[in-house]
Amino acid sequence: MSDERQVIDEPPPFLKTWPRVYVFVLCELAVVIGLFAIFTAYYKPHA
Amino acid sequence: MRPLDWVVLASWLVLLIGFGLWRARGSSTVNQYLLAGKTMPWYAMGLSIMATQAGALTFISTTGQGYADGMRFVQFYFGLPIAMVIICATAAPIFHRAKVYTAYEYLEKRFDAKTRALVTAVFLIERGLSAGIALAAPAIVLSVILKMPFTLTTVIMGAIIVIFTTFGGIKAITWADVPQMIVIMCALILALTVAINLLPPDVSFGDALRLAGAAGKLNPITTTFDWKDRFNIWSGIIGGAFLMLAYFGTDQSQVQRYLTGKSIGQSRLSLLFNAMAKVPMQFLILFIGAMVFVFYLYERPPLMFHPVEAERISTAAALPGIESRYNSAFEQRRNAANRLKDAREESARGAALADFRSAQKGFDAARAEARKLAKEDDRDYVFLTFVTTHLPMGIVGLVLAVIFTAAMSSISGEINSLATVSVIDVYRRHINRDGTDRHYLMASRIATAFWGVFATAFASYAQNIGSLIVAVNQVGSLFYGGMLGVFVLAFGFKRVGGDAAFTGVIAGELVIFAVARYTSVTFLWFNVIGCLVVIGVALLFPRRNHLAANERV
Repeated sequence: MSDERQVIDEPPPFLKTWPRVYVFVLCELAVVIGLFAIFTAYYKPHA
Repeated sequence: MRPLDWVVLASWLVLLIGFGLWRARGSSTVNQYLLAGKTMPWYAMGLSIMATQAGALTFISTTGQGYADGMRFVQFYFGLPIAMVIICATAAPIFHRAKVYTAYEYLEKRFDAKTRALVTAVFLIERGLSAGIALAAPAIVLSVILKMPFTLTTVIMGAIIVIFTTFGGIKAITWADVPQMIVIMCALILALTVAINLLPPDVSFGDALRLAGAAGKLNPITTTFDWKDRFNIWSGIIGGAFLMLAYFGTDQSQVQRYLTGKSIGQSRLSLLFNAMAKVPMQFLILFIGAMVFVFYLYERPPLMFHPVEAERISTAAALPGIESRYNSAFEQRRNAANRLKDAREESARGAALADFRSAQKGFDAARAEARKLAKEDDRDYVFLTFVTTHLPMGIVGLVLAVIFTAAMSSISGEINSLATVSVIDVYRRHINRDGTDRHYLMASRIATAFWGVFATAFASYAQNIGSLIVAVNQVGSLFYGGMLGVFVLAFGFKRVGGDAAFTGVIAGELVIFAVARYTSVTFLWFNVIGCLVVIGVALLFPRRNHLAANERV
């Protein structure tokens, strides 16, 4: 059952390093939350 | 369900299962059966992880959530991208380099046998019970919609899952999820398009958004902090991140998916794909629920969406009066919606909005009267009622087939991970350490069949013990904090040894149980509390144990 395959750790296909990709993903989250906040405020019922 | 719908349902099942088994042909070693020979590309793993997590209940419950409670449930997923990034930087490369089959195998390399055994036992109990519930929940709904006996529905679903998973292994499950996830997205977009197109001609998409907003359904962000509230931005980001860290970092049903990657990079890409796509996808699903709500502002919805409950209360003496009030409340709400839609001036809009909200309250009150007569909530039947009543023939069959196979995807993954842990962490570790690869492959298939039959039997029984379903779901949330804590110790605290980790997990679990029993803190925070207690107790442990562990590592 042993696994003799080499474990490969290649760079990401874009942005060159993994930490940069992580920052990109977290920025997307921040943008999405920001858009949701605008969406919520825009459609919030005002009596 | 018309004949064409049944044909589509059966065809989709045959195609999907056939495709999965065809892609899995030649899985003749344990490595191929349990880890797909570590050959999977990122997009297959990514879609599979998404399909497994989505499950049938995403279709059934999340749309109902959007209809009844609005879109704030999306905040539950805000922690997911954060968790994915942390896992990409820690767990994914560590598990790959350790060349393990299970996350718990790594714990023995890092700590000791007893810590591995403790976490293995926790996983088998928690996941074994939840596999049964994961089958029972969609089976209950599908049996009602398809008008089939619950036990027969459960047994048919269970039998298909057992055969598919036992013969195909992880490769079949993962590849079958690729077309499955694509069709899920197409079905969701189609349902949204139909809901919007079925609105009256004088109601534009913009009007629909304003009406949904006026009813408080377009509320994806809630900034108010409340320990008891599951869905606000703080519990989503902090509590959600811990929950997702535990789920994707320590639960073998997820870890096993990204261990099938052909490289660490491919595994990372699959997780990051989920990190970026999951929140917008949940937004879309909840938005469908909100649009179905607007549709039912103009089309009178059934008093009860649950067909069985509707039939059961049909003879109640109080029903005619309730129905009369309900019909009147519906008309008032529709008229108020029209006035709000047509109001242009600020002052007129304010008055129309007040009218609409008052009419909505009246409508909710009339429905609440009917729900008092019923035994079960009908939220999970909102979307399926809409689908079966308003979608075109053939598409209804496809949507129900997708729900069926979404359940299959989740449960197959759970059963496969249970079998993997049973063979690798229990059988090979404690019972037979010198078997051949062929022997362990056979053991893996037998374990898969066993867990499939167990889940089916448990699901059949679960219908009659409704309160247990709630209890088991709560039990699941009780264990993740402890499991996460021990993995955080393993990855981040190199001086902590086995005795300290073991004691930390026990202490963490005791604290979580106490919090669950004696406070009203919502379950999302259990993971945070449990994880911190495990780490705190382990760090307080006598120093000599830390050093002993350090030497072992």
